[in-house]
Amino acid sequence: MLSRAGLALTLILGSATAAAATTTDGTVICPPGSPFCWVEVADPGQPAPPPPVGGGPGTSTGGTRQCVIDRTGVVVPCHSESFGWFNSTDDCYYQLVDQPPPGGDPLWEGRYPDGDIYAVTCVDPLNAPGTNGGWTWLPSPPDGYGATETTPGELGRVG
Amino acid sequence: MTTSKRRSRWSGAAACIAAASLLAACTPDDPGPTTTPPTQTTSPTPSPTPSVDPAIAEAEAAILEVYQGYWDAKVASFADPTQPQDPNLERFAVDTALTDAQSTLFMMQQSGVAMVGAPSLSPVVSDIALGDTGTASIVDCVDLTNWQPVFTATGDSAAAPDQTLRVPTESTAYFYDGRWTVRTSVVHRDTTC
Repeated sequence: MLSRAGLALTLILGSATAAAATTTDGTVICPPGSPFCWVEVADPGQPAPPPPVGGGPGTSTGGTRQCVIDRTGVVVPCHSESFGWFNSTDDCYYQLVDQPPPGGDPLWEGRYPDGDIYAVTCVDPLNAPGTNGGWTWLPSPPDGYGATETTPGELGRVG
Repeated sequence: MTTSKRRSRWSGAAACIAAASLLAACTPDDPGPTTTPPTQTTSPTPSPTPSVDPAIAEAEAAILEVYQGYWDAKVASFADPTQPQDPNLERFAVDTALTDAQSTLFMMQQSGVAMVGAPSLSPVVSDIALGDTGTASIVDCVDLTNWQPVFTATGDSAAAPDQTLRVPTESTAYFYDGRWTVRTSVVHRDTTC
């Protein structure tokens, strides 16, 4: 089973500050699986701090990892209890499913017990117009999983 | 919490039968009330209700309870996205049903949006398959009339224009880790019900 809910969201969103203004910019947000849509405010979030020298958003010079949603520039925590670890390559969080479905589940595609099942939560609405999260089989942990320092994948995106 | 209502397919069927009977009594060909007094009986008439496998009936009740819990958890979580999500969300939902709700919660917080009120539900369960990896289908018509997005800063409506207020949804239930859960929930925003 996934890890407990709880503190997660405030941790996750603490730095993804919501805008106080209600001037809309006309963008309609329709999250996957949601029966409702809303209009985006003109200033949807806190812009990313200036990038470190030699790097762009989502990267650093090899020091402490910084996680940023590419499209919006919003800085987000790299880990939360409920969502898991942020993967800068797709702006999704990955959480290992402790109690995965049985090996006969189609999700495994006959590969059980190789690899693991992760719960994937994607957080950029325009980068994830449909359901592209959920339980996902991976042969090994994704980029950024468990990382507190800049990952090889993030370094590879620089330049 | 929510004003959502539950309805099983059996109660729904009963309602349809009742409605059909009512309609039949109102047709133009209806000769009207007869002069024959209704037959009085002294013993109860055997119930015409079709027999239902008790295990299926039990599973159906459990699935409806879980489905309601899943929606209640979403309503609670979306009411204030700045707070930790309702722990029941992970209890009742798995796979995309869970991660889609979490994605929505995250995006709402980023947009400074919250949901006020509660939806009205009309779930119907079918295709129940029992077993260690049991499954079932749930179709619903989610009524959003009293569950709308607002900007938390001002309370003004954040609803996108021209949205349907009654949205068909198709969900799947999955028997997982010794309990029923909601595994997927797909909405059809481009149509109505």
